[in-house]
Amino acid sequence: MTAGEPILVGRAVSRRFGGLVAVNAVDLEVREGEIFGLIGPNGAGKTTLFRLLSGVYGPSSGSITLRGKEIGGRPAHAVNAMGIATTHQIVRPFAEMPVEKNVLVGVVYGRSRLRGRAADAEVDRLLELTELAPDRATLGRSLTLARRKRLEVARAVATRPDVLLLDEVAAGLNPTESARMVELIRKIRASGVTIVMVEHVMKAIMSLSDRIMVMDLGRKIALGKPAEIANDPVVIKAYLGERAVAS
Amino acid sequence: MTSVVQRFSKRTLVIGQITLVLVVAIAIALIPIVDERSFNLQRITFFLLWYAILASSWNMIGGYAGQISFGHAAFLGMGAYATGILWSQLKWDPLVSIPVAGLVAALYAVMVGVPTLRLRGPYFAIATIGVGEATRLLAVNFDDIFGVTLTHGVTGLALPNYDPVTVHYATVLVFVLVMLTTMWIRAGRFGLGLFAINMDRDAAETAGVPTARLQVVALAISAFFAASAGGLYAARQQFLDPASMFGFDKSIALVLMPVVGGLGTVWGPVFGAVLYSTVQDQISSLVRNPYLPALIYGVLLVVIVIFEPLGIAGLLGRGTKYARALLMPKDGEP
Repeated sequence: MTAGEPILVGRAVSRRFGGLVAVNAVDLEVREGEIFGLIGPNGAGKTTLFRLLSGVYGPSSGSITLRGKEIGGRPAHAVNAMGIATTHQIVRPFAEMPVEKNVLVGVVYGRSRLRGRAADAEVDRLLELTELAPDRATLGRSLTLARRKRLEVARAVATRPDVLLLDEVAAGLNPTESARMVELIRKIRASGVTIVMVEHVMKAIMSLSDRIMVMDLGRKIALGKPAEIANDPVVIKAYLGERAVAS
Repeated sequence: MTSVVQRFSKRTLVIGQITLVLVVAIAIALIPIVDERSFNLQRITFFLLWYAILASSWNMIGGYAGQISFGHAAFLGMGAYATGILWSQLKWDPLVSIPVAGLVAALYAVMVGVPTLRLRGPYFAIATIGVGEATRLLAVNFDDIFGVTLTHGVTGLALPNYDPVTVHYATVLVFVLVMLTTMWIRAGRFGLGLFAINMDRDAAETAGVPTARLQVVALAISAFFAASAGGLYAARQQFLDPASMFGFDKSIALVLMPVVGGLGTVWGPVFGAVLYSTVQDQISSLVRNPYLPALIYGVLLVVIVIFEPLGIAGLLGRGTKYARALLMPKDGEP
């Protein structure tokens, strides 16, 4: 797939928590239609960067723009209305609502502007897409982890984003479930949604991503195609230490 | 489809709910017509509806959005005093003053809601205690602070006479309005958003729900009805004092009624109000010990909440599937 124009752009984005610089002057440029992977060891600042991109946190400095419009500092629902939807690393379904209502929240508060029957029909479509139709009446709290992850995706896609942020949606899944999640992500991209994903499951992220950015200790340390990243000494060092590079 | 509510169309449920409200409203409205001298029954039904209005109004923010307010007496008292002052000072008929008082309280709710609703769980609850007490103290000391004679401080505010039968009908009308509003909120997009906030505010926010705005609007609507109840009280009792209108015990009663009746359900607050006003009025007149009603109520509260988290609505809803669907639809369902 040929990547298009830059759609989500960060310039010198930083976020400090007291003395800790969780994200340190990171530049990023996500192109329209691509799957942009984000990896790094634990504590690299991936999730913090995601929260900056989705409006959950405001950046301490730097700018984040979507199609040229500044999103930094806006509340999360406003960022969602501009076209960025996110899933949560630790799944957060609306526990006492059935699956279909969980998705309906995304539909009626998202950008589709659908109401009534049209909204119900959109919920049906999303449940089919995410293979959650058999669980539509199940309460959020009763779902298995794999289905909760799917529900996260369904609720985010329901808001009709231009850019979808996926935070470890394959983590904790068995190989079959993980493969199905990869399929789902491909389908969503094929429908025209740009995807940024954080993932620890290397098989998933290496096979899906057009480009991968590597973070370590809050900084961007590498950017490139999956094959380039896998052989980059800087990346190997960040993950495995100095000796692994030397050998 | 396993969901209970799905077996009955949304339309059937809506018609059922509205019919139930109208039957109750018409029955109570007929009391002064059937027997002009039924003063005691009129008093009992006034307080029954009065508590139902208050409990339902509290439920909109406390039950739906899960923001537990321990300061709702602020809105009740403000509505009562605003109605009383407009009526005694400006000679506005209570039927005009009450909605105006409701709007004043709604505006006040926006003022206090914008900063406090940013707080979560116990912090919001504590902040509302502060709001309730501050508002009570303002009512007590208003005249001294502003150098005017409006609230008469702790002495209380005596008001001119007003026809109790008119108040009776006005109360029935406000009851119908509060019930239609609470059903409308629960059945639609607004209610779905409030329930989403109740379950996970951050997840709601990232799913596009403007959580701050929804909560402030819900609090304003809630305050409007709580204040209307205050206005009705002013018109009927013709005497207001800060201890009873702004009292912390009133705020607590407003929390307990929906909890006992069924938090977040349409009918729960009404059931809770029936129980509360029955224990309060009837048992008080039967026994001499002034503490016994509170004790009985406390025991009932504990027992009900242990056996059924959805309160009386939950207990009654166990009867039949239709009753269940009608009385206690699951959160976020119509």
